[in-house]
Amino acid sequence: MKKLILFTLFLLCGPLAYASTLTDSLPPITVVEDTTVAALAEEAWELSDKQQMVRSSVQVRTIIKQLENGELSQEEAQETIDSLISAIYLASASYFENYEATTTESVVDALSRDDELFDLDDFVFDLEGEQKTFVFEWHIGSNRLVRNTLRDAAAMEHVNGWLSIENRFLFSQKRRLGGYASPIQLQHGIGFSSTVFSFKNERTISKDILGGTGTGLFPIFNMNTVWASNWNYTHLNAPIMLHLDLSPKGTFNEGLNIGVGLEGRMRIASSAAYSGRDLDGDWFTRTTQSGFNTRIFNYAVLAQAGYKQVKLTGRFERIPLFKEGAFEEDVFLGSLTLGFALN
Amino acid sequence: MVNTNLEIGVLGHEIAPRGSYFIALSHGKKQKVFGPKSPLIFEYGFTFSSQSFDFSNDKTLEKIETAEGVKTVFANNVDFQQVKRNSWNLSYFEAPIMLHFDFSGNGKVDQSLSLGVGAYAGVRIQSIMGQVGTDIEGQNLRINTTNNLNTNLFRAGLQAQVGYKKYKVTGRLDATPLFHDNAFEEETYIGSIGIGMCL
Repeated sequence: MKKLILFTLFLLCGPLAYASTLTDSLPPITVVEDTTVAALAEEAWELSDKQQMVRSSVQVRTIIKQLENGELSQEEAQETIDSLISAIYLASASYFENYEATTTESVVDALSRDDELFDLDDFVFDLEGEQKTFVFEWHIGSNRLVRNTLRDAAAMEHVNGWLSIENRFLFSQKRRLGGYASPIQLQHGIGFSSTVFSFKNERTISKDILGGTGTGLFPIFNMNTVWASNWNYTHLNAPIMLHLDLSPKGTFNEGLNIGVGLEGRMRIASSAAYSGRDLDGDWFTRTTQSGFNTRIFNYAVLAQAGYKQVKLTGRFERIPLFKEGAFEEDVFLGSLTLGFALN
Repeated sequence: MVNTNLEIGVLGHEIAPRGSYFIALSHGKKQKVFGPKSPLIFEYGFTFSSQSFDFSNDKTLEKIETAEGVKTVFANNVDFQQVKRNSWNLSYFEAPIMLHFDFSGNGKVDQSLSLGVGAYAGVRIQSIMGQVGTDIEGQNLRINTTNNLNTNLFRAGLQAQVGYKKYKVTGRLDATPLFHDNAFEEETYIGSIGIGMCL
């Protein structure tokens, strides 16, 4: 406010009158008319104190150059420089009286004023760098075979729910849409997922070798004891999600967020293994690598709620896991996982 | 795979020689018996060996329950429509000893002709059946089964070796049958011949 009052007063009184009251050591100031330099000097009054100081000092060099080129006489040049020195003196007095130490807020304010004396490119560059970030995520949780209605499939009676685990790794990029302050973020990436189903009731997944085509959960024969029976299903994932992220401006995974998205996936391995004791009590392990009539490609809908780096993600495939008619009913792969994001 | 008459046995007839091999890695010490000038050398150490048998047809070994107990039989493979590879791999940890007659010079070994006889004893550390092929729908299928298939845990046998400098040809024949008593339809012994190099 002080600065504004002084500046207004200065404009009203005029440079000559004001300068003459300040000090006796300065020479009398006269406005030089009818020269290019004078026009520049007048224009300078509309600038801030700081700008005026910088600009006036630059103009001194211009005047000396004009003097050396014969465009100005010695008297005209001396008068103009005296005038500029007075202007610098007055501007500096006002500037230092109102000087405040530079803070982050003042830099941002200065940017918003579109001050031509600042190098704006440097600041813009820094802010653009925070519009996107690399995110590594690890998710682990429970998976299930469900019907389209999200109810458990009949096959789940042979599945150990708490031993059936989904493990996902994701390498992705999060990008703010609509500028660094926007709460909308787009995430896309690629990852690997391992889905393990643990079977109980001494069953394993197998193609129906007696009844023709088809896959089922069949009893294991020729074993005294089955200790473990698992089906490991590994796929390559490519998710894309849209998040509403309430993290502070320019940051990621620093606040509450909710997101929805889609994920395409491709099966890259499928193996069933069981182990235990055979007919005469010796150790027995059998690993069968087969697709078991599952589809190679599928897609899932994703929903995620997170706070800071911890994410809870629901995943539900929208195409039946097995090929048409290959399983006793249409089952879909669903999972609920807890994840951690590192960026 | 030979029987008690040292003839190719029932199992041996099912094996394709081309895909059946014996690999061993030994670490041992050779010691001159009667001083540095003596041609007699005693060798001892330990060996990791792997014996792989490639079956020439689609059959596989498996245990079944019979009236006489659990036996190992050569059975048809019901999981496959076509079998591309059907192998059985047995791995052992062994302790061999050999007495060599080595014509190398004074204080030297493996610099000339050598002849040796000896024995070995070992313990089975792994037995895996591996099958690769296509299933009844023509899709790729691979099955690995880890089971002893009624083979004896311990083995012992005789070996003979002839060599020139660092190159050796070694013949081995098990003295203990491969399977437990009456677990297979005939007593089967593993025999092998291999070429090796000393470092």
